[in-house]
Amino acid sequence: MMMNARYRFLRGLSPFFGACAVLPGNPASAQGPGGMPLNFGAAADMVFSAPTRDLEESEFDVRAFEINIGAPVDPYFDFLATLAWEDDEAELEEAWVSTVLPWNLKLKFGREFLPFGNLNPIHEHDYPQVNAPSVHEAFTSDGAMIGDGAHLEYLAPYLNPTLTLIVGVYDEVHGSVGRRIDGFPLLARAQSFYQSPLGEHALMAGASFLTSAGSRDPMEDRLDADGFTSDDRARGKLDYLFGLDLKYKYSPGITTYQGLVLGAEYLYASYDAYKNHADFTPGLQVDADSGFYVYAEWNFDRFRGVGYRYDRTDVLFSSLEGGAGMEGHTLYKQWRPTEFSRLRLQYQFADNDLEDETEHTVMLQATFFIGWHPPHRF
Amino acid sequence: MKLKIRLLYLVSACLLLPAARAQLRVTTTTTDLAALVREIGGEHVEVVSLSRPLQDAHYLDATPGMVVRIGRSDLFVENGFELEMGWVPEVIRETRNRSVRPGGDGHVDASHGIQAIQIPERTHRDMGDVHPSGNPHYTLEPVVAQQAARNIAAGLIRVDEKNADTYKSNLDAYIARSDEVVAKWKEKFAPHANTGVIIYHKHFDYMLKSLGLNIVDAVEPLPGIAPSARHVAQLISTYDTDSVRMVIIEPWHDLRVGKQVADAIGVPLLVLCPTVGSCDGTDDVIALFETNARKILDVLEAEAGE
Repeated sequence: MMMNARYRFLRGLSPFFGACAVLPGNPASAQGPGGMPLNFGAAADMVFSAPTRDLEESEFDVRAFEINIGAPVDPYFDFLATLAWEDDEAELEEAWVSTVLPWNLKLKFGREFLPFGNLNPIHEHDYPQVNAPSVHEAFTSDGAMIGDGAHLEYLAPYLNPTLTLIVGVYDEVHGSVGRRIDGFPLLARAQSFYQSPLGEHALMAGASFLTSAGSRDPMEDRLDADGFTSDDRARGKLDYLFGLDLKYKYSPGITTYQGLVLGAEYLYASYDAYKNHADFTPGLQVDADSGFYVYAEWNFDRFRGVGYRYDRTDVLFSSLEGGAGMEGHTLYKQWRPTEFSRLRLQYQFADNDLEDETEHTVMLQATFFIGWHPPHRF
Repeated sequence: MKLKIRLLYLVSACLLLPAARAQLRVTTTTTDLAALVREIGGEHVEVVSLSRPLQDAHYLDATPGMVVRIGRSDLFVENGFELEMGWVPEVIRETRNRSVRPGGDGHVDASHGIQAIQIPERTHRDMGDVHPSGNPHYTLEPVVAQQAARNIAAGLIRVDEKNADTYKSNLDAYIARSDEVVAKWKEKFAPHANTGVIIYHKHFDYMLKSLGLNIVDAVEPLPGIAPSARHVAQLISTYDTDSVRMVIIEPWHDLRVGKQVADAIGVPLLVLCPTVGSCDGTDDVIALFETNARKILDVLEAEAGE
């Protein structure tokens, strides 16, 4: 079954590989059927991870292999799709179409990374550190929240600061608290961007909210016959998820590449504990957990940078775990030989109340891009 | 009642807004293009560049501010030749203003029709950060930039036909002035024809070629690639004061490496002005050209005088 799925995945891509192979010129674009431009690229993200406490648990992981395809469909619509190969499974991560509407509105529909906070809208290999902060690991799982649906984006006609308002409705959201939210999950986000008059300081701040209009699936199908599961995230259902995020960049006027980046995000999850679960006790039906991370990164030039991240979070459903939390300190250094390759060395110290232990982990990440890659936003 | 009065003011202000704004709003990706727009558009345009003078336009982040800026513009001018391909496509995709998208009346690709230099026969990433359409830094040479000025004039006329005569006459004036200035400097450089120079990045090539200088090598082993110790050693062992007279660098690159190469060869390191507004007295592309040409000539004449 899996072989068939892989075969179909690769066979489906063969026309695109063919288009790129026969056409030299701009490596970032190729001519699609009918001679129209088609942006096509691939990314590979590889991570070697070594817990210093037990080196035998070291592992090398091709964390993701991605294929990106994007182009304007016509004067009215833009299209982008990302096919990812993760954990030996092919998955359609993104496939959306966007269009501009009157009144400064924009509509995006299809499958997308939810425009929630700093990290969720970007791919894992573009995260500022090798791994996600613990609050994201605990609350969103599987890297990111991906939704099938649509969102409407209003860009207010203010130049500086800007104001963007987003409302989204989805058929379901994957990879969130409880793993999956059904019943028309609803999203709202407001964000603002400010740049100083000389452009040296730039700041983006946002607030996001995710809830569900109807019933939510608490993943009953993942429980075994006795109502147990090894996955904590199946032990409840999300009431709402709220987030605040901030990103600041300072680049001195004399240089393009040198500068400071600060980023922070706070997440608050309110949920109903799954009442059929064995751990459920009266009074714990409604609970909430929160966590945050903050990081600072200094780029010496275009090729080298160093950074530090601090993160702290409750473990999800912490009330069932005696209020357990996690804390982490992460140091990293990165090298970018070109725009298309990046190496990162990271050391992480993590203290986990739940398992009553500390972990020291060294990670080495290598990320490569060939062909086109969707442009990066602030 | 107060609310009604406020609403009345608001509606009146909105109705009066288009009439009050006599100037065209133009947004460009670089300060060089903004200067060209000012040259052609004169008092009829209000122009803003998305990049600052000392920012390398290869590497910018697409920001919401940029999206709003070009959304409010009558004309958007980009450099082309893939200079801004890392961020402009995102800004264009996000803008609500369809007319500034490629193909719209409000979009100008200033490179259209320019005969680029250094068009690679094939493009692969193992050749470094090469531009398939050729070297994108054509605004450093005012005569080559004449075609960009023509493209800008055509764009301005498309969105503001009533001032077409002004734009045409400003274009003619720019062409005449740039021809005259470049010819003057070519004459001054004639005694130094084929003088060897090492560059850091292929930024000033249009200007250096126009002045008859010979670019013998680059500190970057390949475009956009950081110099290795081996490559630096190779440069130092290959060139001497007979074959090279100076090392030319942009201020945003690693000046220490440039100085290491220059000192070891025994020639000066010359930091040129990469964009309009990056140095005093570089308010337009012609002044930028003259400032850089003067800096180079000063070095050559100082050496000749020793």
